[in-house]
Amino acid sequence: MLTDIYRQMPERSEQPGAPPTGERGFESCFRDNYASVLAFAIRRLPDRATAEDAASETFAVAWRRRDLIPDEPLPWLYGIALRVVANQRRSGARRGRLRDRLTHEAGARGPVEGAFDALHHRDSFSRAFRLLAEDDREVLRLIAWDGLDSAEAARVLGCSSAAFRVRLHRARRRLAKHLAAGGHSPGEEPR
Amino acid sequence: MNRRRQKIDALAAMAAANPASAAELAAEIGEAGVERALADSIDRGRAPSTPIPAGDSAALHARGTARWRWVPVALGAAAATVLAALLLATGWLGGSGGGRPEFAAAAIRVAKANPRLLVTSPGWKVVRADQFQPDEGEVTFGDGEHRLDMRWYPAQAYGMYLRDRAQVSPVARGALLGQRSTTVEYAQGEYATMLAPQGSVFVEVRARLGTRAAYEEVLQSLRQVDVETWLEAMPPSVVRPAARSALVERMLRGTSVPPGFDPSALEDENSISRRSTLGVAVANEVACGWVESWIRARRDGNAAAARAAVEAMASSSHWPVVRQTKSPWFGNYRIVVRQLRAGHLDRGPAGYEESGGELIARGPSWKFTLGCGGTWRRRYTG
Repeated sequence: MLTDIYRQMPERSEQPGAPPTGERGFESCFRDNYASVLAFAIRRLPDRATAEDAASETFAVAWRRRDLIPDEPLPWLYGIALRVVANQRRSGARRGRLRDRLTHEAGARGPVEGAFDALHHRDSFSRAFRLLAEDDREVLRLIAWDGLDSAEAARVLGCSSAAFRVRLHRARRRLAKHLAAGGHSPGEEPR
Repeated sequence: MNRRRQKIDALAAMAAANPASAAELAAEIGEAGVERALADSIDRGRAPSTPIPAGDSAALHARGTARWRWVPVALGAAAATVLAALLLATGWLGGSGGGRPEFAAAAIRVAKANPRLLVTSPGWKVVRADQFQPDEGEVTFGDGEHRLDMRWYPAQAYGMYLRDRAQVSPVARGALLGQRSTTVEYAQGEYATMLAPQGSVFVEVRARLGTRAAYEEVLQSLRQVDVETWLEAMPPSVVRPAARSALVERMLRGTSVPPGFDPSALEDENSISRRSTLGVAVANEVACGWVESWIRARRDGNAAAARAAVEAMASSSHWPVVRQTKSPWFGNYRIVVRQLRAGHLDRGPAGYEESGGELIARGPSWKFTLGCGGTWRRRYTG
């Protein structure tokens, strides 16, 4: 389940070649990666303000642990952001029980959808995407939207690269199946 | 379409649907926007933090048992939890009797769990001590020009930190105060030394003193002291009980307090805390009192009293204790002021924790936001 994935945050010590950068490194880390973390949150949350809040909270956590910021901080930051987003969704779930009920009645699985799911549900791709379990969606988001490679994405989810590749393979296969069933053509752009 | 083609199309369709571009966002936000966001994040990071910041596996590992995962919507809520915990768990009993200070059991627990190291080089003293728990804390020593940070962590986290520091630079192994030590070098002549666990904690010191020799000289001056000596070395900014009552009174001068306000709750003789921590506690007590006054006024249909409470809270940024304490915490007050002005106080959960596979809600939100007592804990039922 979703929360199980979020529990598996990689520890800093598991990341090779990543010296702590301390307080002085935090600011440059922020400037280099804020837009990426904000985009990461926007891809998963229902509105821009909530995503900005999640990005700020992610970096607040990073600031508290600034001694542990690795040389390549983005997967580490995404790992934190994933948990912050999970908390935001839980909060959203509390406030949006009605929306949740409607979502489940529509046959969707998983927790509250992000901006993409909520706003673009009309096109065939989005319909197919919404039919995936949240675990599959997250695996695909990390690769196709966040631009990580399998090793980096595995670090974010706290699993081995081999396990991640298996999950990615299955998620891609399931998405392709839903796309084909929904009549999605290879060149179709989401509306 | 063959199977391989289908897989490729799936990811291509996914990529084409990407709802956010980091490059476009960066251009849209601009440098000024990034700087504002940076300041906001640092403010949040500096505020009294959640017991376990969301996603912070290092903290999870270090704290061991805590499992709090608060929703960011209650920005100050979790901070309130910690503040309350700080005031309770880090409470020290000071006070003088017969010229010899006596310390509370809580303080002695902290000191006993700690290796109690002091820098004994001439001119060095403790200049900051604002994080104190038996298994985690930080003291900063200074000589007017340089500073040395000394942190202690749970012994169970030693391996994790050791592996982490081993990635900083080649590790110099040695001995210090009869303990195994490892020293690494950060950039620009900054060194950090970890001592092997002693009891339930281990210590790490870190400083930039110009040269390795200067660092070693100060390092070799570390001495283990007894509980009383260690507690006596705490800086003047740590408020002792004898001074606490008078200080609370001074902090309240010029601040409009709610009807029936009783400052005695802030004068717990079993507590000793930093001046800034006490300032936040004093202001919170006043703010909580005003909101309770507003609730009573609304219940009783007393419009004038309700209006007075809203006006008092709206003026909180001008309270002397708020102005003098300058804590990012006070940003939370605006949240409650907006609710009072709208006539609707958020009494829902401030956040959630997972316990035994169940989701537990804690609230009400407004009390967490202001750091008030009297909160509840309920099973979340959706």
